[in-house]
This record gives sequence, C-alpha cells and structure tokens, in this order.
Amino acid sequence: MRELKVSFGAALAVRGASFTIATGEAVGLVGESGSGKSVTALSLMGLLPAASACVEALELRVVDCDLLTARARELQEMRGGRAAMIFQDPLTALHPMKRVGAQLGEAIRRHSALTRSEARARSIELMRRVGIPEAGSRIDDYPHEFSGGQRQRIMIAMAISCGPRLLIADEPTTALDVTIQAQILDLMAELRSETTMGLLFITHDLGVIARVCERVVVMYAGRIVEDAPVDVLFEHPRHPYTVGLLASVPRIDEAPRVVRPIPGAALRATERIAGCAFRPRCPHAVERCVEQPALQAVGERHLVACWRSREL
Amino acid sequence: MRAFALRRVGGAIVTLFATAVVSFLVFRLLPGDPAAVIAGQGATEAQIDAIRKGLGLNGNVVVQFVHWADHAVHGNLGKSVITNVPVSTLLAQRLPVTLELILTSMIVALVVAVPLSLGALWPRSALDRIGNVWPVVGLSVPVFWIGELLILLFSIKLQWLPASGYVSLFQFPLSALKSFLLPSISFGFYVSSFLVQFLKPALRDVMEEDYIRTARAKGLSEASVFWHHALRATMVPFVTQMGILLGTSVGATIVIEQVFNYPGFGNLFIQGIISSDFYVVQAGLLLIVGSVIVVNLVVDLIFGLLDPRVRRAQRT
Repeated sequence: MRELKVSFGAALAVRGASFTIATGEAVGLVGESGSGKSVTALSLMGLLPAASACVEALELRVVDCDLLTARARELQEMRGGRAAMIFQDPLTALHPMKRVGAQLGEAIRRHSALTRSEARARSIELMRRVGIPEAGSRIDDYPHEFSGGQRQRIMIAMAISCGPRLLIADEPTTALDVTIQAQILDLMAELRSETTMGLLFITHDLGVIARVCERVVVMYAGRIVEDAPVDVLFEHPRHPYTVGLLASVPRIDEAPRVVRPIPGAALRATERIAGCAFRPRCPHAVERCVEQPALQAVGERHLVACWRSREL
Repeated sequence: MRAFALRRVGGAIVTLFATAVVSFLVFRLLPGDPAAVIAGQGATEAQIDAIRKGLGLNGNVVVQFVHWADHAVHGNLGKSVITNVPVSTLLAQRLPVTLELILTSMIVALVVAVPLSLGALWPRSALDRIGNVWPVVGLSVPVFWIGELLILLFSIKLQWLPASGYVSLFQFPLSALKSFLLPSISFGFYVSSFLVQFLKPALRDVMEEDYIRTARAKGLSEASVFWHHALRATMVPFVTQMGILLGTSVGATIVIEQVFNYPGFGNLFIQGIISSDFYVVQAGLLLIVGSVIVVNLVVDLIFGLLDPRVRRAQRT
C-alpha cells in the first residue's frame, strides 16, 4: 500500500499512508480513534461505500489483487478467499436471522467447490477448531444463542474457512470482556502458528499488539508516523507521538490512576494542517515541522516520519 | 408460541368487545332519534314508541346492549332500519366488492413501491431520487382529488375507462379490470407512497448493517448480498407496514368508493351514517376495527416465523 488517501467529502480519513505486510507477518496498526485505522482496513478489502468514499493511492495491492484496477468480480474472489476480515462488534457482524451454519457454509461454498453437506461438515470442523463446544449440535443455532466471545470465534471460523493468506482484524477484542479478549488473542496466535497467514491487527491497545504482533505501524491523523518491530518500538520509540502514546499507557507498577495523556486534541478529519499533523501537540516541534516529513529509515526495519528523529 | 398466540387472541377479543361497547354507545349518545325519523313528521308519541320497541331500542341501555351483543355473537347483527334487510346479508353483498378493490389496489401499490424502494441500493441514482419524491407527493395529495383527476382525464376527456360502477372481478374479469383500474390506481398510489416512505429507509438501514458488511467481506456478489441477506431483514418492517395498510384499508377505501360510486362496504357505511341506520353503522365500526385487530394479530404471528429472536421472546 503506497500513499493511500481516503476522503469522505471534506473529511480526510487517510492522508497518505504506506506500509507493506510480508507473507505470514503479523503487523499491528495502532492509533487513537479517528486516526484512520479502520478506514485503511476497509479500503484494503474494498469495503468502503463507493458512493461516499473517495479512495486514491499510488499502489493498493492485497494478495495479488490490485484494488485500484480490480473489477467487482476479482474483488469478490479476493474477499473471504485470499484475504478475510473480522470486525469489532461480533454482536452485529452476524446476520441475526440466519443460522450460524448457513452463514459459515455460505462463505465456504463461495470460494470452493464443496457440496452443501461437505460445507456443513467443514463448518462443524471449523467451529470445533475455534473452540465452540458441541459444535455438531450448535451449528443450527442462531447468533443470539451464542455469547459475544463465541460469536467472535464464529467470525474467526468464517474468516479462516477458506485459508486466507491475509487476515485483517479490526479491533476484534475491543467489544469483549478482558478474560474473553485473552482467549480470543490466544486463539488467533494459535491459528497463525499453524499456517503462513499474514495478519493486520488493528487496535488502540498497545498491550494487545505486544501479544500478537511482530511489527507495529503507528498511525496519526491519517498518516503513518512510525513503523518498527514490536520490541524496537517499545524500547526505542523515535516519533514524539509514539513516545507520548507509550507513556500514556497506565502501568501496573505505578500508583493507580496515574494517567499521562498527550496534551491537546487529535486533528479532526475536516481540519487541514501544513506539515506534520502532530506539530501542535509536539514538545519538540521546530520551524521545519511545517513541511511534511517523509517516512525515513532510522534503523533496521525502523521507519519514522519526523524531522528530528535522529537528534531526539 | 402457543401461549403467545393465545395471549394475543385474548387481547384481540377484549379490544373487539370494547369496540362493540363504544360503537353501541356512540349512537345512543348522539342527538336524533331513529324511531322518530322512521315514523316521519306528525307521528304520535304512541306510534314512535311502537317503532322504538320494534327496533329493540326501548328500556335500559345495558339491557339493550346485552340483547344486541347476544344476537351479534350468533351472527345476527340486526336489520337495516331503512330497508329491513339483515345487516349480515348487506355485508355479505358489499364486503367482497371492497375486498376486490383492496386487492387490486395493493397489487398496484406493490408493483410501484417495490421497485421504487430498491432505489435505496443505488444511492443518488435516478430511481433513488424518484423514490424520495414519490411519498411526498402521494401523501400530500388527497386520494379523492387524484380520483377526480383520473376520471376527468380517462373517463370524460379520453373516454377510455368508466367513471363509476362496479363489475365483479370473478364474473366478467375483462370489463371488471376496466372498472377497477381507476379506483385501484387512485388508492394504490396513496398506499404505494406509504410503502415507499417506509420500505426505502428500512432497506437503506439494512444495507448499512454490520452483517451486510460481513456478507460482502465473505466475497458474496451484490446480488447475493441482497437476496440472501438484506431481503430477509427487510421483510420484518415490510410485513409490519403491509399489515398496517391492509388493516386500515377497509376504512380507508370509504373515500374512494364515494368518488367512484362503488357499491362496496364504504358506500353502505356512509349511507348508514347519513340515514341513522344504527345497526349498519354498529356492524360497520366493528368490522373496521376488527380488520385492524385481525391483521395485527396475523402480523405478530408472522414475525415469529421471520425473526428467530422474536420466536424466543414469544416462547417466554
């Protein structure tokens, strides 16, 4: 993905973001609400509403599918087949009036030549794989008969049903209890260890990133500000925003209720700013920051978009 | 499910009973004595009293009601004060005419409303824009006015279609079609406006649901997304709206029947009111309210078939 820009009328959701995910790599995409994470994910799947969203990019390619030129047919082949996606709210992501078996079977049959009964058997197998007890008898239940965690498991089963090479997970644990979150993360890590499936994990929770991902991409106001391996980013963050983000995470070894927020407010989507969008909140801002800094390598596999990344 | 159905039927009976009481009392409380009207000017008190007795209007109101209700549940709704024909016979003659009119109007409404509502699938298309304007026009223009306009154009100016009269759909289908066309279009236009106004936003909302995004993320084509996912979810509000429209149309066709001089139920009802034919009016009110109640009941039961979550709520 190179220089992705997405706008909704006057609102700029993504203002030029670039990153690549290698085969089998698990990449976390972090940023606060409104930073453009979800819109980035949806544009990778071609799922933004065509009527209201304007998508531009120099390159936008997902597992051999060029989204800039792909026709509807090719997009549909890619979605759910080579690349799959799971969403934030498992309570609304499944059709409330269709049995889960039918919803799973539909995904399987879309991308394979399996018969109805073979797809059913495969659905049961998948439900068992993602940890639904008594999958054989629960396949004909409706979504409302499952708990939130189970519904997210079913979404995961649906996503992995056709052996995708990339799984995009848009805050898959945000709507769940902490204990269920951990179970879902374990499940995802487990599934990944069995295949060479790449993962784009979108979250605002740095703790979750540390647990599942190998690399982190930090997004701010629709742009990538830092891109580094997880341990490097946590040990030596170079962008002032990443530093602030890490410092704002409440720590268990400190006095409770000590929260260090980044001063100021994030840039609104309708606001325009020359140069670095973090400039107004940045403690290190200098005159030069009115020009947009490019993402530059500061170490091995470590990219930062900041004029002062070398001196700070 | 059975307990739910029984509870709903029980509720329906209570509502019907209340309607019976109100429709009975309304005529007793209105000024004007039907007995005096029938007796005519210059009748003596004794003559009027005799007529009153003959109509079953003498004595205590409660006794009168019990007497009437007892007959009503046995299918005897009284006789028309004017023509002396049993009300049940009159209804049997007139109701089918109205039901035919409702049926043809609903077909017209659906043929127009369903395609217009599909405009929600293609935002900002021509179909979408027409669908936005349609209900505004249809709901602000009175039904009788549309009817008069159609008569002016097709019956008087072009002389293509009859301006009034009724031909049975089952006896003479072809000429019946001609006589049904104008009233069905007038009423159907009105009904279609209601349907579009409700159905289109419902479909638009469904298309923005998370599970529709999931269906797309599976790689389904837009056609499959619509047929297998969106349609099912849109059926619930659709059935509700159709139910409301069907239930109220027995009352709503009264105006259309007046415009096209249709010998239907509405015509009977209006004549009953004008001539203080209270047994006819009582039965008519019961029928109007009863049709709403029955259709609502049926809709509630259909919900359970459509939406598994409702089924569970119905069970408990």
